[in-house]
Amino acid sequence: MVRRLFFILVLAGQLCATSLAQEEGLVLIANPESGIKAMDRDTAINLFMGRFKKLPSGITALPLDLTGDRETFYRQLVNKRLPEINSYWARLVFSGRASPPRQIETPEEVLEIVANNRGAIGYVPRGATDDRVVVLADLFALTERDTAP
Amino acid sequence: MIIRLIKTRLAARSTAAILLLVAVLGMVFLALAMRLASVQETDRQYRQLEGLLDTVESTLQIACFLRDRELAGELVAGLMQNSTVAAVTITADDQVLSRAGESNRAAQSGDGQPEENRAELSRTIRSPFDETKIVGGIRLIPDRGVIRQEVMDSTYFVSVLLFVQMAIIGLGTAIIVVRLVTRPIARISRRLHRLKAETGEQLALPRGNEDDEIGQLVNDVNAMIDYLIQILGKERKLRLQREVEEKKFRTIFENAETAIFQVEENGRLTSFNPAFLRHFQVSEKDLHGKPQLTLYDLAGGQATLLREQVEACRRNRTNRELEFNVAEDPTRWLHLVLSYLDENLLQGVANDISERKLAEMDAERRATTDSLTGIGNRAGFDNRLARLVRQSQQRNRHFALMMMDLDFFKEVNDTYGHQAGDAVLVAVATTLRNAARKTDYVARLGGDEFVLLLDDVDSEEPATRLAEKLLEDIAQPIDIGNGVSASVGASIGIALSNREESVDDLISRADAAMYRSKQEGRNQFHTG
Repeated sequence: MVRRLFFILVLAGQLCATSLAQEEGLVLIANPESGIKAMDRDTAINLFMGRFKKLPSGITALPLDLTGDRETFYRQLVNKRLPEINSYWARLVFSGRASPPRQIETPEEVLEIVANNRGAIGYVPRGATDDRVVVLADLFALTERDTAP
Repeated sequence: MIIRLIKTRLAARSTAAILLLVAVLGMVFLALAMRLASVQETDRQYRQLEGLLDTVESTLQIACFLRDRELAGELVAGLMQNSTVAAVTITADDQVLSRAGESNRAAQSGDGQPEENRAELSRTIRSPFDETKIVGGIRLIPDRGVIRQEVMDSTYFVSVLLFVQMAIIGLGTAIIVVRLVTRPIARISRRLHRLKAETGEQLALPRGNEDDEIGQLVNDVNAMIDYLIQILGKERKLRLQREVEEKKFRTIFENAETAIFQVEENGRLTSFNPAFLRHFQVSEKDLHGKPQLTLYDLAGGQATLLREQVEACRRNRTNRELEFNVAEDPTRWLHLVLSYLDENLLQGVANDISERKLAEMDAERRATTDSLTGIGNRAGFDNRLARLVRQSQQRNRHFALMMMDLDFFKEVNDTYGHQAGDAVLVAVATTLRNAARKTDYVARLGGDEFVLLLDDVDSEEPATRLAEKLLEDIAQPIDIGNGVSASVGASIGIALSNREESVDDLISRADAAMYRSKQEGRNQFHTG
C-alpha cells in the first residue's frame, strides 16, 4: 500500500518535472544590479553547493531553491538525485562552514526575493520570469566553457 | 663442561649436531618467514589504508570541495585513530586544510628500504559534482614501526613453535641415541672391560641388537677372541716345544765333550761351552780375571796361525779344518773346525785329539827312526831331504849333504860278532848326534852307512869343520863290552846343494866324494 503510493508519487513528480523542463526549461536569474550578466556551470555549482560565498562580482551570494523544481534543477546542474543532495547538506550540518540555499515555495516568491536582493540568485521556469530580474543562463545551455563576463 | 660432555658423550654430540642443524635451518626459515610476513603485512596494511581512504573519500571530496577545515579536521582525527597511520595531510588548492602526525616517523623507520617509495599514500580528490575537477588531495603516511610490530607479533608464534620443535628434537635425539646406540655400546664396553678373553670367555649379545650393527660388532669381537685364543694356544704349544728342544740342545751343548764356541773376527768369544774351557785349559780364575776372553790370547804361540785361519774362513766362507797344540804343550792337540756364520761371526768346534795325534806322531817317528841307534832311517832321511830341497828352492837357501861310511867296520863285526858291531853303530850314532847342531838331521841308511843333513849353510866350511871333528871323535876307541875296545874310522863325502841340481845328482856328488876318501886312504873327507 505504502509502496504503491510512493511509486505513484514518484511517477507523478517525474512526469511533472519532465513536462516542465521540456515545455518551460529552468533559467538562472539574478538581480540586475548584481554585476553579472551571465554564468557558467562551474560558478553555478560552486554557488549553489556552498563553495563560493560571493558572486564573481564580489557581492555576497544568496542562493535560493525553488522547492518544487529542485529535483530537476540539481539533476541538470550536477546530475545528482535529490536524496544525494540532501545527504550532502546533512553532512555539513555541524561544520557550519556552508549552508544549503534557502527553500522558497513558489516562483513568484523567488522573483520577489531576487528583485529585492542584489546578491540573490535563483532559478524559475522560463515562462515565469519578468523584467525585475536578469536571466543569467538557460540551464540547458550551460556549458563548462562558458565564462563570466 | 658442555664441551667436555660433547667430546665424551656420543648422545650429546649427536644432539648438539642436530640441534645446530635445526637451529640454523630454523633461523633461515624464520628470517625468510619474517621477510615474507613483512612484505605481506605491508601489503595488507596498504590495502587496509586504501580501503580506509575509499571509505572516507566522499566526505573527503566534500571537505576539499568546500575547503571545510572543520570537516577535514574530523576526517584527519578519524584516520589518525587507526594505529597504522602515522601522519595525514589534507590539502585543497595547495592549501593545507588539516594535518596531523609526524611525517618524519615514517622516514625514520623506512631505513631506505625498497618500500620507501611506498612510504606514503596520496590521492587527488575530485569534486563531488564534477569528476574532471580536482579540488584537493590527501597524503597518508603509514607507521612502519607498527607494521614491524605486527610482523613481529605474527612471527612470534612461529619462533615459539620453532623453539619448542628444537627442544623436542634435541631431547628426542638425545633419548634415541642414548637408548639405541650409547647404552648398548657402553654395556658392551663394560663387559669387554671385565672380559677374561684369554680364557675364551665370549661377549654376551645385547637383547634386541642381534641383527643390527651392534650385534655385528659383538659377533666380530667374539670371532676375534676365538681366533686369538686359537693363536695363543698354538703359540703356547710351540713355545713349550721350543723350550724342550732348547733345553735339550742346551744340555747337549753344556755336556758335550766337543768344545763349541762362537768367535768374532777380532777373536772375541761370544759364547762357549764348558768343554771349550777344558780343551783350551781355561780356569774359572782366568775367566773372571780377563775383561774379555779372546781366542788368540788362548792360542798363545799359535795365535798367528789361528788368526790366519779365521780370516781365511771369513773371506772364503768355507770351513777351515786344522790341528794345533794347546798352550805349546806338545802332548795336547786339538782338532778345530771353523764354520762361517756371518760376516763377523764364526762357529768353532774343537775336539781333543791328543791321543790320536801322539799315536800318529809316535808311528811317524817309528817309521823314520832307526831302531838300533835311535837316529833317522832311510825313510826319515828321504822325507827330510825332500823337505830341505823344497825349502831351499822356495827360500833360496843352501844345505849340505854329508855321507859317511865307517872304515874297518866289517872287521870289527867279523872279529867280535854282531853285538860288538851294533855297539859300534850305537856309539857312532851318539857321536854324530852330539857333534851335530840341533837343526841338523842325522840318519843311518843301513849297515855302517850314515848321513847328515846340515840345514841353512851357504858354504862348505861348516860341513868341513864338522867333518874334521867327526873324524877325530870317531877315531877314539869304542868300548864294545867285556873291557874290549874297538877302533874304527870314517870316510866322508860332502856336497853343498845348489838350486839347479837334482836330488839324485846331489847324492851322487856326495857319494863320489866319499868314494874318493875311501880310495885315498880312509879316515878323511872330501867335498864334491
